[in-house]
Amino acid sequence: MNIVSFLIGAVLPYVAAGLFLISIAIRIYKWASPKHPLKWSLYPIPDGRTAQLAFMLKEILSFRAVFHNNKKLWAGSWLFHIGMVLIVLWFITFVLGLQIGIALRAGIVLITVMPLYILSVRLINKGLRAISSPLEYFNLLIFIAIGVSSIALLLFDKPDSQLVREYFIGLLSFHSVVLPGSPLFLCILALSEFFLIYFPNSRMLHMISKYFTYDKISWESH
Amino acid sequence: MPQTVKNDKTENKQKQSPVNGKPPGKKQKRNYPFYAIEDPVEENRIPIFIETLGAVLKDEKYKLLLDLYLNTCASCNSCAEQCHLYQVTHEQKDLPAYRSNMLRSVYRKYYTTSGKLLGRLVGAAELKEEDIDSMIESFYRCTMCRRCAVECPMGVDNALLTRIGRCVLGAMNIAPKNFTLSSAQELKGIGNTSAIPKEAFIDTLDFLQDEIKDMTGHNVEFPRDKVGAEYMFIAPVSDYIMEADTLMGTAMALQAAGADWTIGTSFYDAINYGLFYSDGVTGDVLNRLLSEAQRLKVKKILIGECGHATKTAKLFMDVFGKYKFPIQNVMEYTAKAIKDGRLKLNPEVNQETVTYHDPCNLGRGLGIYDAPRNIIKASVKHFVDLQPTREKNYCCGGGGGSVTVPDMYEFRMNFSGKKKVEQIKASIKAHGTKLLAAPCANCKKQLKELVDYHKLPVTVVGVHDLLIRSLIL
Repeated sequence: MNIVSFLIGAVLPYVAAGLFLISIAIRIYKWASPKHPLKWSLYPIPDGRTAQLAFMLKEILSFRAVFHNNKKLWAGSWLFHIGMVLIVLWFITFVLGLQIGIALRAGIVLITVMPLYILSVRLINKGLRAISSPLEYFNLLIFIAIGVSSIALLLFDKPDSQLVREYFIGLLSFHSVVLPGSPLFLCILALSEFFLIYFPNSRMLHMISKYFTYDKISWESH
Repeated sequence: MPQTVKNDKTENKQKQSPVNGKPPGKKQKRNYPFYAIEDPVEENRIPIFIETLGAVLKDEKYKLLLDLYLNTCASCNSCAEQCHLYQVTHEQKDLPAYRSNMLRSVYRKYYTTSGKLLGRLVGAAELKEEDIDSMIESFYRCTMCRRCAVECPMGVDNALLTRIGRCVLGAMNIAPKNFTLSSAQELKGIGNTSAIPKEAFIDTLDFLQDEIKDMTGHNVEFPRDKVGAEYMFIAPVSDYIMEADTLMGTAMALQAAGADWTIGTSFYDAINYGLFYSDGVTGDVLNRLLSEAQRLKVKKILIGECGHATKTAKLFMDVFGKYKFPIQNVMEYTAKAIKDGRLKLNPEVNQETVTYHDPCNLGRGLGIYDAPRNIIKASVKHFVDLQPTREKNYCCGGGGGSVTVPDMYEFRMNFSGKKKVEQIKASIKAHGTKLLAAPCANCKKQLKELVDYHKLPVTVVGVHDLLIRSLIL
């Protein structure tokens, strides 16, 4: 293992995961702790805790509001997020010893194609273009880069899945690891590490802030 | 009504400064868009803006809200689809997210590490003079109705960001002069926004009593300065000039329900323009109102048919109030009295079809959706909801205080009120609607102007107006 591989394969995974978890924890702490004396509720407030959770679950699972307001964008973002979920699910089951290749392949295709599609919707729609900062496109490009390298890896340089699994188990159990010897694998790893560090400091953190905007502000009754 | 600006397209071409009616002299060298401003700060606007925003970001009241709202937008533009203004103009400056991004870019540039380092890439931008001019225009085109917030998948409220933007501008005295002058009058001058002296106010109360006697044959009192009463009733003072029926209906309902109530004659204006541009003014006006309740040693405060006044009192009392009182909108009181059987009503006397406009500050802002409907349903034979209704109802187009700004008349009639006109027309067509009830002084003024301007065959009334005929005394 040369120095670059060592850094990307054995050091940065911990740094990235650590920063990811710490940054998210700090954010949650910041949003959860202060009492805010000015109530700024938005009515109607779903009646009771169950109804509120049901509302949020429905919104999170179906992207109801975007569906209602822009079907084109909804199709892209919903499938894009499904892709991310598939990859996370694949990763968990993979480490546990299951091989659900279809989840991985579908996930990778979705996180590659959907950002491209969303990018084009953003560029074509006048209103969306007006509110999109370069960051919007940059966020999508990270996914496209991870997706494209993953497709290339699977097509041209597929590493032995047993080796990949041992590598991740080694990382997770804090044992020494052997990096699958593919440069593309290293590249995906580096991009994912960047993503983990970048994510909590970007507005992609909306998956968490969303809970607080509803629960701590909109649904706080007088 | 002085109208110096024809519409939003011509104003950009104007080189001179006709907006405030003064020649572009030394003091007024800027060409402000849209509405007249009295004595704005002209120098060092950029550092003042940045510093004021910084102070707001640290303010305990707004810290959490801003931290969430400024960092959360996913740029999906669902808000644009909901905006009654953008759906009419399709102009970039009317996109709710674009408007909020004006504040976000300053926040990112000066108050986030990533913005300082990466600039435009992360949506941060150096603040320029022309950005401030754009904000002056854009923040006042938004009527702060919060319809977009209802459909925001991230729960972001662009109207709050508009308010913060207006407050930052307000710190430089950049606000429509109708706000600043009326507020000064309410706080330091005669004590109310319509400049009604105490003697004239008392005369008006007597006049209203006589009117009720003439109309119904009953003696209904407008009790004044009754120390120790249970309720102090306070209406937007403009009602005493423009909405006599609402006030008479209210007094009749309160008396018939057996309320122990009074009106203060030292301070009698619920209007609080501070909500639209300044926290300082919000707190000062509110404290005048609370002090009057304290003087009269009442137990509770009843606010008349007014959206922003009710919301300001209910929301800001906890943060600014010198005294604390339970606060109710008078419709909540009347609806409860009807429910408890303390009011007897005969709906047969009101045969015309009535529809109801949910004022943004009462509906989305406070959740007062059912009380007015229950009053109307008990008072009239035919009630129909506007479509869309309740939290999806469109703003009248005069929200955010814009109805009080004469310079914005054409804008309100042709742009911000356009969706409302369509909505009313649809109700007339589908149901033959004759009366449009709106329990808010701001909404009523705007709706009456819209009805005149667009020649709509409906009459705008308040909710308590309907009780004058239906209430059995």
